[in-house]
Amino acid sequence: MSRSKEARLHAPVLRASWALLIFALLLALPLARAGESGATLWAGLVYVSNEANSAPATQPLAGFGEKLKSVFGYSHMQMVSEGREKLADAAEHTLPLGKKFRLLAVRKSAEDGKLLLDLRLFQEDRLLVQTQAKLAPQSPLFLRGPLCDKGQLVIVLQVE
Amino acid sequence: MRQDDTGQPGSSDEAGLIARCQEGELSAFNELTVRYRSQVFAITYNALRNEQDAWDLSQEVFIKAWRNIGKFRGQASFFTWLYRIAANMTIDWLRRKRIEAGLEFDETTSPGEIAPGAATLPHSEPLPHQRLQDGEIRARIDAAMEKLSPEHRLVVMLREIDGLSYEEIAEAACCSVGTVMSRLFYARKKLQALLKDVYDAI
Amino acid sequence: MTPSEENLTAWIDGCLSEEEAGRFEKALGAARPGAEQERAQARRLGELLRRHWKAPELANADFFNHQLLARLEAEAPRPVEKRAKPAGGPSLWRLLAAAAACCVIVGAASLALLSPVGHGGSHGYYAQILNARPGDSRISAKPLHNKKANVTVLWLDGLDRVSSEGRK
Repeated sequence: MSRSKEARLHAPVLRASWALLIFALLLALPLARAGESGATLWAGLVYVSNEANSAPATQPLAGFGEKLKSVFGYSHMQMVSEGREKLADAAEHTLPLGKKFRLLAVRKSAEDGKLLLDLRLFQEDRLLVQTQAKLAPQSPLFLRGPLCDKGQLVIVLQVE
Repeated sequence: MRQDDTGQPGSSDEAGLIARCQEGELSAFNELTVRYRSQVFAITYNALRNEQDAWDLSQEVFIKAWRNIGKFRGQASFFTWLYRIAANMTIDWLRRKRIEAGLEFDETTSPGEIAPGAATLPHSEPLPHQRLQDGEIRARIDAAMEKLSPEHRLVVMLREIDGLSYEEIAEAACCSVGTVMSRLFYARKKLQALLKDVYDAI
Repeated sequence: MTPSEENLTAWIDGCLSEEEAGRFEKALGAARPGAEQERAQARRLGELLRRHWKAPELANADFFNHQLLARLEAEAPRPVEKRAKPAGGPSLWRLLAAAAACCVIVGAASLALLSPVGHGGSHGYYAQILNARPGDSRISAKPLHNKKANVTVLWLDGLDRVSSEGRK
């Protein structure tokens, strides 16, 4: 093929390739998540309060708004930090949550989309709690953290 | 007791290693760990009396030392600085364990009971069948040590087992030399009362 | 602690100079035999502890270092590798290969869409706390389930309040 023909085919092929790729990714991503055995752990450190001047909650926090309000009685929430880790079997994963907290997670087993996890929550060097929990998608776990400022810190865990 | 694996504690070679550690060189820290791991393990084991716990705590001591190596300014020797970390972490661990178990320290020995030159328990010759076996002796010592506070226990260990001077113990335990001597005095008195029949029987 | 007790300890440990020891022993007077016995007792105690209470050797010492270094390396930040951008644009063959890959992805995604997807059993399921142990005795940990919100809470009490720094 001559160089000039090559050059003429470049642009449309390039545009078509990008369009196909984007479409495929948009289609494949949520399906890929559904197909996984829930092996990703999302953790968020949330500041909840009744301060009227708090900024509105953004995703994914907005999805927990009602639940947080129902459990803790606070109507405003602010994401302080969040992290996400794909959990390999038996390996210890660290999810830092802000400057002062971190969560250590070890996946013990996975079955029917539910994960059995060993979790350890630290505030700096202090172990706050060690727990074994079974989590599944759409079923978050809240850990009531310490009082902070005019509200409270809550750690939200969700398997994806 | 203070000999490291290379027999060169506190040398300029060590100063060089520390400087390299402060630059972030893990291999230099590895060398320091080789020098002092036995002593750190000994201090944690003597306090915890459990090999696995002592192993874990010793690891934590070195991890803390690595994280804080930048703060080491060389005013004390690295050896006593490390000992201080080990001592503090060991005391914290012991205190946590005691609180969890609901135990209290028995520090009720009053000065009046242990005036210098006070009469001691009557001496008696042990009969052959009364001689204690090694395991029993260790168990008796463990039980006696349990009755000391972590601070008193630490001072006894550092002095009697590790052979540290009062000044070194004071540095490691973050207290004055007078406090070290006081703790040693009362700890010995208590242990003597609890263990006299043991060292008479062996 | 009285000065005499302090001196007694130092005398027992042989930490007094000759002159100081001499003065101390003179000052003991009639109490000297008792003090000598104290010293003997302390030395026997020390021997007992050194003989029977010494820690064992650190077993698997090399593994100790290996494990420690692995943990420290895991903490150390690793340098980010920057990949050099290739000069010029992709060739036509590369573009065609990329287009073919996209078709494969679309095809796979379509297959996934058409094939039955399990529900995973997560409807009606809520997170469960199997056990919880607080880090120290000042903290309590209690699992609760809020049925209305369908959320499980590990309720921790006894935590120290954090300053606004905790919001960062």
